[in-house]
Amino acid sequence: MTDDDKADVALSAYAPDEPDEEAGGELAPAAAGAGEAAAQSMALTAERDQLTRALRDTQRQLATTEEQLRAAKRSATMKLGQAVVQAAKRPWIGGPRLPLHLYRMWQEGRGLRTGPGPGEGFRSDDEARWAKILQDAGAGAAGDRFLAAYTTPGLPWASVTRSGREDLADGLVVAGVLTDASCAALAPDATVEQLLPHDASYVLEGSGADLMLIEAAALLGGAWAHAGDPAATDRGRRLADLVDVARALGKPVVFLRNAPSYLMPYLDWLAAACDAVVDGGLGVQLARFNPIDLPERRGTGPVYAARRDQREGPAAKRLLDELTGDGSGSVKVIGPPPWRDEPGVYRQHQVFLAASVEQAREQQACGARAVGPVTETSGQELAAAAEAGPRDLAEIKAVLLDLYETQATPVRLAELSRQVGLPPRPVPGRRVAVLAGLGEAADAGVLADSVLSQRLRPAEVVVWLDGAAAGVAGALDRVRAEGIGVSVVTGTGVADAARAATAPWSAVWEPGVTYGPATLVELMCALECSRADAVGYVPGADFVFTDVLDPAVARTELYRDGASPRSSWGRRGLRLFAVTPSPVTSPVDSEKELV
Amino acid sequence: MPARSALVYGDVNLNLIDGSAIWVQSMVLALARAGCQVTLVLKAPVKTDRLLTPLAGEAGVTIRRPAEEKLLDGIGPNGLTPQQASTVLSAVDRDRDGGRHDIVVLRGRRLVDAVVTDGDLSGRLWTYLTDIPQSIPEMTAEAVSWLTEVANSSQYVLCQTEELRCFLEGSVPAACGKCVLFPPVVPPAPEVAGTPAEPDGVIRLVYTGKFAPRWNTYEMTQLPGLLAQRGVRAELHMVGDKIHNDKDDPGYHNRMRAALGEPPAPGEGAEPPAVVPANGVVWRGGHSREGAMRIAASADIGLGWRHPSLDASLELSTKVLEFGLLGLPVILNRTPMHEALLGADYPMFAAALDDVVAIVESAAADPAILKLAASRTSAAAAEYTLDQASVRVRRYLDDAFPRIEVAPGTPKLKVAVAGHDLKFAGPLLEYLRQQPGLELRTDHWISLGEHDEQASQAMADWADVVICEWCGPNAIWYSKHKRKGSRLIIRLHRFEVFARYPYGVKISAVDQVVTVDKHYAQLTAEKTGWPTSKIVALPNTVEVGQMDRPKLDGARFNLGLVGIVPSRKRIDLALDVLEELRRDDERYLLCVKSGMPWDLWWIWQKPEERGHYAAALHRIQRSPLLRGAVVFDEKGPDVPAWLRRVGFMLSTSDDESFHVAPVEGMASGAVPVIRHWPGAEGVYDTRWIHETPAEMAAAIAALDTEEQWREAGALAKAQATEAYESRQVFAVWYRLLTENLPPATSVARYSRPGMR
Repeated sequence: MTDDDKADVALSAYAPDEPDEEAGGELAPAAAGAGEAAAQSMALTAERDQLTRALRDTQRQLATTEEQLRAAKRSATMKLGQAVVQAAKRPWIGGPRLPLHLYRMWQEGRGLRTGPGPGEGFRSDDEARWAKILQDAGAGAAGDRFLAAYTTPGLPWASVTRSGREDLADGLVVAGVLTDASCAALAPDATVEQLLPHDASYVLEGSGADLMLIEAAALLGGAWAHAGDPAATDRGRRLADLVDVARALGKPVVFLRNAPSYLMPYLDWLAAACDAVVDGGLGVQLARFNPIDLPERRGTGPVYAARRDQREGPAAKRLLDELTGDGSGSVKVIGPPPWRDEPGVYRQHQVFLAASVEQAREQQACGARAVGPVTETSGQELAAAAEAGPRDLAEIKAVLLDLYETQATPVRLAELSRQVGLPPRPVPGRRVAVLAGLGEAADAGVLADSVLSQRLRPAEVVVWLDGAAAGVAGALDRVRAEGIGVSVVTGTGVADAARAATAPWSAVWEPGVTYGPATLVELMCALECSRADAVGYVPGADFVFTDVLDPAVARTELYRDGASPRSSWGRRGLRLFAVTPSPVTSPVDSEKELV
Repeated sequence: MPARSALVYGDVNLNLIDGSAIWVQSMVLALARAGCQVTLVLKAPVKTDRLLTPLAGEAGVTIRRPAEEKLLDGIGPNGLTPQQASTVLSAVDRDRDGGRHDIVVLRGRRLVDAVVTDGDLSGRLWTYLTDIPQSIPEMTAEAVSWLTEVANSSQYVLCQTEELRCFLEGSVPAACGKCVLFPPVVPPAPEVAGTPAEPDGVIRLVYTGKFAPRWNTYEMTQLPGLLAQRGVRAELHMVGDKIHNDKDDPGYHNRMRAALGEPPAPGEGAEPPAVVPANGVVWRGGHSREGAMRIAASADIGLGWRHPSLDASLELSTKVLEFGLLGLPVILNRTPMHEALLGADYPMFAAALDDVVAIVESAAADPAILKLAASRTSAAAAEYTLDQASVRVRRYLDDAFPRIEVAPGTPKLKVAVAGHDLKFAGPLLEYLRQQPGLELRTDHWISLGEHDEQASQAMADWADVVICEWCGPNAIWYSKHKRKGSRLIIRLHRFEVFARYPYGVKISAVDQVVTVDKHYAQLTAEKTGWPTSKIVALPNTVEVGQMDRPKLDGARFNLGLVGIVPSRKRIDLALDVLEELRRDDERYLLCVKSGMPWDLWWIWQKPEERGHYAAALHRIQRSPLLRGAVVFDEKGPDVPAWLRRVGFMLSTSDDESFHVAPVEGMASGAVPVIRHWPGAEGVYDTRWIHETPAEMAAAIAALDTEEQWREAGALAKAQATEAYESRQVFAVWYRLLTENLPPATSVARYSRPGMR
């Protein structure tokens, strides 16, 4: 139909010779143009309606035909039905013939049932690509297991805080119902698999987990929220199923009660179903909470990095009211920072009124003075803390060392493992080998004394004999007797010892030098905070990253043959962390360690 | 309107006044005051009429005494056994003048078991169960099976708390839609003689009830001493005479007995002793409920603090409510249920003895604490009065029997409903079945196009009105076999509009075509050319009473999506919304409640469908913004309980006819967030409709305070109630049976483009 034709249809339909009322019976040129446009528009409308009517007619015919077909189906015997199908499929072979329009309908119907092939009807190339992959792989047979088809074990937490080169395969693998914050706490020291309600069972089966951890805090918010509440029985049931799967797979289950029990009173059954129930959190993760890069100027007034909780008991409420007032008290309420921001916020203030014991430890690890949770004496303690000014680094390091030994996440993990009977094995980040050459028999005795005096015992001692071998056995046996692995290599240098070492970290000790009891613990604590590739003593530099250092502890592989020369470590992107030994707790007998 | 009739029986001896006996009394009174004719059948011969006296004076209440009336042989001194009770109830029901009772209210597990097994009262039961599994491990397959039978036999399952209701629905699918709340009823407080004692600087604590280890009664006796050490003068008044013998703690009885001190002389104890023992513990002995309440009324603080192992109960302690009725503050455990009752900031929650001491000390120093706590307990108790129970029962009766009465002698309208799949029509059929002016029959087609033609012909000959559910071959058939003088109504859903079936319908035989909204009415008119005067719009419905429940903590950050199959539901767009929100706030989560596409072979065989879901799942796992933020909850009928965790309901579909899920969400107080699919504005207020996922996310983020979100949710709830509440919509359906409704649309057949 041409434009003129359309206009004709429109004109005939709308009687254009009737005068336009507003135009007073005369069409101005512009109005004439508008009239043409209107006519065009009407023509299009009319055409559309014609086509619609035609389509309806066709549809009616089809509906009638379909009705005929249904009637035929209803009245036909199975034999006739088979004949119809056969005729449709192979119309060239003699036999009953279908009416042509029925045959076409069959073809159309078949086409509809089959649907478009790959590349057609997709919303995006991505969906088309996935469809092709699935078609080839025949996916779908897995059922709900398909929900976990693209789960990447440990992926989200692998890069949170730990160095990319650290191999945690020899460490603990923890699968669990965990908050993001807890995953971030565990990730530097363990392989973590955060399970979700819909894929938990499938992921657990394939995770190789050593233990399953159910964290109460994870049931308060996030994907598992309300799993302990009768209002979410569906999630609770999945939790119960998950415990069953873990038990069936022989994986111990630990329930970590790190949320107030009054918020989840309906979980008695869960505690009873677990191998161990442990109160408290996952400890202080020094890789996150540490004093590295403390701002030069920090807030001096006490702050409260939590929300005033309407669940505060009367006594706590009164005390907090006194301290915080309506924003005019001595303590400023800054609210709870998002978990990712906590370390940064804690480094920005010198004094905190802590909302919990756990928070106090994290704030202290970040170099702050922390008082609390609130008591009658908190006001005086806060005033004294503010008066004392910022902690100096030596003071902070003493706090860190205490946390490292008693409250850090690896300590907590060791405790959890012990509770469920897993082998007592330190996390990879705390396994250090002492590599030493023995020039004379007396060196062995000095080495043994130093090793056995360490607050953090090395995982192993690897020695090479740089002279007479006689007389070293007794001293080395003393070390072995304490459960520390000792090996004597046949080579004559650090590289040979490093080759034999199995611990991921190594310290090279000089023969005949006595090392203070805190030597290893200070170095490994610095390492745990910095997650560097090497830690060493650099005069005038303490708890900072550096470009060059002579390592006191480094990745074992860096001592092996073929490793880059130390002078190039910084240039090659290795992270080097400088510390100054503590004068009190870690006397260093020799200047040799210092560059 | 004729009164409904109720038969009530509790497997409870009403001679012993305890919580369950008071429940029976309260239920009878609540039913009677809701306008019911109540027949109460007693379990045991009457020895005391203390509970029956108030009932005897209540209009419409009849008390049947099987033992005295000798309704059955072999009734023992303890009354009817559950099996005997079932037999008696059937007989009483059968013999009622005016026909069987409309409802049968039962309490007690063994009784319900017997009645359900007998089956005679099935379908009319209002069952109240307390001694049922209340934790996931206890809910075994056998328990679920039994509860399923009970639910199937019940019209309602009465639940004492929202917690129990959700737990039952989440565990027993058959219970969904049947569970309603019937909280404990607190009888009125007795008249308290005299005036309250003048403040004398002594804090009086009171405990009433049994003395048992898990009720912490022994620990309570230490309170006066501990408080004295802190300079607080306090007395503890212990009311009760039952000391528990604990097999795990054989010394408990003697220890507790010694801690109570000297008992009052017989007949005394109602008044405080002239001299209070030196340890501050005053044993007032056992008293009637009224007596105990009188003693409590003269105290300053009630004690309801218990061992934490009792916190897991899904039932509410009436003790708290009774103290509240007296205006007494109560020290009790902090539990989610108690927080919901009294507020999370209630100042008298305690976890340990030290807490109790600290609270009393604080209250002694600051009377404002006592005042605040008392106001909370009083307000809470006011929600559990008999009047409130009566209002509740009346609502349930109205929902259960939405009858439109007709004049006596009016011939019944014969209504037939024909179709292959009647699940969407279920609530409507139930409504029509209740109507005394109708006789309802169904012509259930074997499949979309298969039926028993003779049966259909008989139905067409019989019916005054035929409703064709779905506009398929059934509608075509009935339009060609319509009896002269009868009325034909076709209910058209979404898929038929795009199918060929409507073109086979003889429209001249059809009186009304029902679509869900104006958009589909218009689409139907355009596609079929049917006269617009015949096309009306009647929306889908929602059970507001079922959906309206308190939201869970954190619900504001949960987006809900119900149904993701087929791909035109567009989960990918929901993920866009979530990603956009999580860029700024990672508290947002997406909760999906849906079947899975691989469970539907006709969906999963399509490459474009598989591609859609695989791409979405891959994205969910690999996008840093989505990983861990999408939860696929189990599909199932427990939508009302599930909605408690949802703050925003998404509708991201390419097209929908109505999309009932967001309406259900609205009824629950969730805020709807609707993509602008064609016709959405015909169903939803345009304030909820958005053009793009980014706009949807912005609308969600804009409600960035709890107050704003709750306000928007309240508005949505009001809109859903007004427009889609089932009884209102069904009432229009009732009219439609005999009269034509105004057309939903007037399609101008030659209107100019853009002018509609």
